[in-house]
Amino acid sequence: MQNRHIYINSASACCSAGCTSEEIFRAILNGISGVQKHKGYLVNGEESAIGKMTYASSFDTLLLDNVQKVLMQSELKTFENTLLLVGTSVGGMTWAEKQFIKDEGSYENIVLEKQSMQSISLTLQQHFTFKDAITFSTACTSSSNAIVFAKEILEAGAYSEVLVVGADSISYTTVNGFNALGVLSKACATPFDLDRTGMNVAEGIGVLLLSTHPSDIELLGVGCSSDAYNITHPEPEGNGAKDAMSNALKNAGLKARDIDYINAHGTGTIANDSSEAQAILALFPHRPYVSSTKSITGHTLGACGAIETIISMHVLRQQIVPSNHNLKIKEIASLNTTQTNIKTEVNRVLSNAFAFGGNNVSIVLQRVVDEN
Amino acid sequence: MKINLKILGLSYVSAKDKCDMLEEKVLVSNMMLRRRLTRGAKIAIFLASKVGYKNEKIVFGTAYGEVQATVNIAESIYNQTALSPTAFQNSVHNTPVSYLSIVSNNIAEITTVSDLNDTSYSVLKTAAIKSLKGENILLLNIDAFGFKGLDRLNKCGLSQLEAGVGFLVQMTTQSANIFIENLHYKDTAPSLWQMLEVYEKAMQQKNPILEVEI
Amino acid sequence: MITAKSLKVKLIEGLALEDLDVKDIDDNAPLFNEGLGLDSVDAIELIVILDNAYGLKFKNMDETKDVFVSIQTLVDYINKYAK
Repeated sequence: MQNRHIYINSASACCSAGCTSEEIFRAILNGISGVQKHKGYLVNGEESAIGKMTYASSFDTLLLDNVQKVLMQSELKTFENTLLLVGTSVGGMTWAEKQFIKDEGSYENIVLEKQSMQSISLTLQQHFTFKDAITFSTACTSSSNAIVFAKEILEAGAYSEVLVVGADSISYTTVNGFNALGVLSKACATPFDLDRTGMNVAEGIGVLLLSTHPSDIELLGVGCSSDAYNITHPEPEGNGAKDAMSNALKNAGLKARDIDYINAHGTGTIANDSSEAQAILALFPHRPYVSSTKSITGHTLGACGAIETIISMHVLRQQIVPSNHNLKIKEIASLNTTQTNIKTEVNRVLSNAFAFGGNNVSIVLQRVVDEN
Repeated sequence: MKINLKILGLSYVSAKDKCDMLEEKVLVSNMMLRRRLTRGAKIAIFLASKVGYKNEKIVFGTAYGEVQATVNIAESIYNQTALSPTAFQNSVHNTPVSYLSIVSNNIAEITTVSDLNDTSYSVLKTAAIKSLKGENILLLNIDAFGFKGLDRLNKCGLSQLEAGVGFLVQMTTQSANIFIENLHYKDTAPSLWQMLEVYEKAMQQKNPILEVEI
Repeated sequence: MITAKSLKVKLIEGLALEDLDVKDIDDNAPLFNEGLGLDSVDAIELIVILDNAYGLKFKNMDETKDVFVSIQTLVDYINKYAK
């Protein structure tokens, strides 16, 4: 089981920063954020700085388009032997909220198949045939946990191909919810900055096809842990984050010094960035490059694991470490957060996602160099 | 692919309105933590305590999630009143097992799946694959959806508004003696049916071994 | 004018302080961290309670620092500024 290598064969993403993963990565390198101020989300009437997709197509259409694109880019003709793993924390809640308001506070038209977490999977299964489907819903680590399971089930030999879909749309619940917790920034987030004020809720879709067929990007390791600390705040010294990262390194058969770049969870909140920084400093004394890309994409919640894995793929393919956009004064000087893009050899990237309730996932990708 | 799971411990609760024997004051002596526990969290802590749980990896399934918290939020949004931060932090699907991990100081991996009526299958398949590493796994499947206004939504006439099943399992090469036949339990949410069927069959076996088809 | 007792009743209910009685909460004991042991989420909930019950608004957490100390400081503030 451990001998099977798992690769990412095809991927596609979209969010407020770009309609394709290439556009998203270009926006990251050029420092052009998808986060904008919008009215109409906060119940107090104020504007909120969010990463809203303003393309002509609806969220569902974008979801189907991205999956179709991954299919077309792959060597598969259909997904009929593929396992679908969805990671979502909003599911159909955006639809349900609008319906509830339209019906003036009545639940009568709330159809469970459209409201639930399974709604993403059901929408996809109306257009594509999959062998089977499972939905993961662990708040901000939803699609990261889907990637973990994809690796496990491929290594077990139960499937040859797995499609991971991370998808979360912007809802009144999440914007007002994070606002109620006092962690929303009124402007674009500034991860790891001394004066950071919080996060930006965002929406996005990330689709990855994983299999045992070789490609240039290997999913080398995954690691999980729990904080067992608090239902919203991360454990302040980052012990849970440290465990997830070191479990990922162990799973990848790597030492900490083998990591060239860490794509941080880096939401821009006081609590996350501080505990994540401590964990990174403790585990990686060789000081690899670190940056968060959430000041460009916003925090895409359950989709961030999939989207940021795809961003990490671009880092490996283009051999460029992206800048941590908006960073003016580092809170922790010894954390090697990038303030420009850096063209350098990057062979292994570690990507983090941390969620409510102290659910932590780290993913390690490796660039496969053709020795021939 | 088939994986056999030896069931080392099993538990089940169910109630028309609210389970009243969850022993929360005993299992969670810290009142300041206990006061925030959702119904799902109390059921998770209770079920885990009955299967010999010792901080194993957890695979949790819930079809409807934290219904009361979701309803509180929806009504705040509709009425344009301030959202309760407690309601929001309690509204994510992994809330019950996050609280279980906090109460038991469990730093192991925890995963939550949610597939409406397919939730039992999602829990069993996910856990079966994760069990291949040789560790024991705690499986939980819980739905607690009593809330004011439910009667207008409860068109299928379910009478058990709170129910949960818990198993402690270990992968085994021994032959299976429990096979899922998709039995129906008209008073319980369909999301729990397959795990309830396994529970009932396991209660009849001295050495219950379930076959999970991936 | 509100009394310490009526505020305690509101807090026991609003913050779900099960097992606690009005007599169990000391008027001058610290509410946060030590004493009663309320946390940052309780602080936010308290802002919501004070808004809904007494029409009091706080722009940010800094404004609550000298008010959210004990039952007595809360009672004094409410009696001074409540609508």
